[in-house]
Amino acid sequence: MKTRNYNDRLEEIFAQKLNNDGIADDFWNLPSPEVWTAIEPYLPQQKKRKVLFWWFFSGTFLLLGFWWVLSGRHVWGNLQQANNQANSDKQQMVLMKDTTTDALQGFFEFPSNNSSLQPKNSAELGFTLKNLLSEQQEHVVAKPNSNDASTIVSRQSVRENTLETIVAKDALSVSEILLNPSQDTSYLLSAISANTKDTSLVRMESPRLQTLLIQHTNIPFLENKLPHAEVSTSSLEQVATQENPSRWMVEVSGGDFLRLNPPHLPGPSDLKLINNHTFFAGVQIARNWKENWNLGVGLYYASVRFDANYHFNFEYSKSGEQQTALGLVNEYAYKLPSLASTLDTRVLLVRDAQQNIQEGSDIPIEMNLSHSLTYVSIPTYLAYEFNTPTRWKPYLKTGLWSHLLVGTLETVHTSTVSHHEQVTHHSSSVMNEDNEQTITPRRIALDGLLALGLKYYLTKTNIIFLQNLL
Amino acid sequence: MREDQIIRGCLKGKYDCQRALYDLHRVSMFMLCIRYMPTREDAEDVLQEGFIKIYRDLHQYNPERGTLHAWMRRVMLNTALQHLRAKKHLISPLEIENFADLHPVNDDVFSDMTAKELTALIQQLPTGYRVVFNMYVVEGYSHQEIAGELEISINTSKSQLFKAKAMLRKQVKQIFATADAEYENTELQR
Repeated sequence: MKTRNYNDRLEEIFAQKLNNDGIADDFWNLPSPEVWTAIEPYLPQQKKRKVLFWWFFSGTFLLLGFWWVLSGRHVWGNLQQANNQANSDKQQMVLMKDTTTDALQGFFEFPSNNSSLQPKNSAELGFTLKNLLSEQQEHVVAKPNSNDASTIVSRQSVRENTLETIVAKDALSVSEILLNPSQDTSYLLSAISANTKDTSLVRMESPRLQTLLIQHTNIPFLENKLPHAEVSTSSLEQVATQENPSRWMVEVSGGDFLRLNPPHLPGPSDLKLINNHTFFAGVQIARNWKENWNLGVGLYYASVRFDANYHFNFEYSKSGEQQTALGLVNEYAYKLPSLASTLDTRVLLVRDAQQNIQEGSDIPIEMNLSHSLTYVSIPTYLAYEFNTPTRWKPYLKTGLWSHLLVGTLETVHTSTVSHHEQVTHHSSSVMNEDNEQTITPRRIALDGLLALGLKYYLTKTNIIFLQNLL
Repeated sequence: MREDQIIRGCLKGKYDCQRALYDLHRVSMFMLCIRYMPTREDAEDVLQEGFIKIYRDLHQYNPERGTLHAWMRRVMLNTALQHLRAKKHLISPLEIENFADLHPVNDDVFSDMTAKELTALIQQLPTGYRVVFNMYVVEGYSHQEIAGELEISINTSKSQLFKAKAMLRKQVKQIFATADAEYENTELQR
């Protein structure tokens, strides 16, 4: 209001009483809520969101490219081309225990600059294998599995799409080879284990062992020389053409929340300030891309800018491997106000316990293996939720997933019947007089994450997630 | 949130800032609309349209030239005047003067009335008187500014103001006269 002198008392009274600070007085000077409802559609915001929307997609593709380079993966390989390449690859042969040196020449391909490594007799095979393994380490193509956070990439060529590696990726198929090995394979196993202290080589799940065995055998040889093996060309081809495991996840999340309010302010009810601190206790049930069931129980805190989630997570493996994981999940999400999205990072401490026992009269090798892994998993991703007028809200997530293996506990008990040897692996700690423990070094791995999902809001706090990892 | 934060947030399209701006100023803006418009519904229409203009043109606000509240009041006033012009409710030089009784009243009687009661009195004025009275007494415009805004002469603006005040005094006098008569009737019935 402009200040001026009043001509009379009437002007002064009206000016003073009608130029207050806008305090609502008994509703008469308060507009109806429909006024704001009518204003909302005209609020300027669309242009900014479009800009940020495209920026977000650009950032998504940049992250995707970064993930590609970092992981070194080529997940869009041509399977048929890989099969053709595999068939034309030269294969190294499994060494026969009593094979002479001349015969060995036809089976092995030694590095051309290391002719001294050629074995003269089978007695030197163990030593040769040890050196061969150490020499060939750089050229071994391995694959990351769920229990091994390290990845070794071939320097000669990337053979991840070859039949060898595809077969090697399927631990179960390879395990079939090892479950029913012939004397030849048994000899190879014992030779490797006797000449190296790297106990991971004799683990059933060791990617290096898998790939070395595959690289040192060829399929026809397996059929001829390993009569007990249940692996055949057709089964290997079946493995090679097997579709990737499902990467779909369905999660149902629900619960109830508590809202904290400050003391009520005087005045009409719609002038009260409502505090945005919300505590939520709930249960999450999910079936993830490993076809495992997840159960999470915990607390959830939400404010205008920040979310935090603490819950215990229990995962049970459907595949029957008796694999369980129990972890304390800490999730932190920072809500970016202008982007309508969240920057989410989690710290998961997970203990992954697995126990494999193979024994039987048909198997000349007995191996009792049990191990448990403890690792810290930190996914950090950007999530953008599309605002739709319905209860269905699609969202996009992109980011990085870091895994830090902080400790493993292994118990290995191996005996080789063919050579009447009892192979044991000493470690720094002893569990009991029958078993021994080994601890593998820490490993760090990075993985990319890109997912497209759909949320369905049953209510504000009960949500169904449907997500697919891309 | 501070006012500058709210302004920045509104310019970026942040919903919470836009809502905060509305919540902070809706009462004062609505009181302005009520004083100018003949009905509550018309006042809400003006309020809605005025706020839409405020959000749309917020980038034109210059803090060096005045407060945000004053700028918003100006936008709202212009919106109210546009509505009145559209409905042909604004001042016509041919308005009939029907004041036969300009008996003076002690203006202190208005000090005992609430803002709601004063607003109700203003709403009963003819449109032309009401607009000039509001702009001069409440908004603080000069007769020259009012004349330029409403496209009337300065003398007309002065005349309308005089008549508006006379009418308000008459209304109050009638109110008290009615109250006195009712009181006397009540006493007689006892």
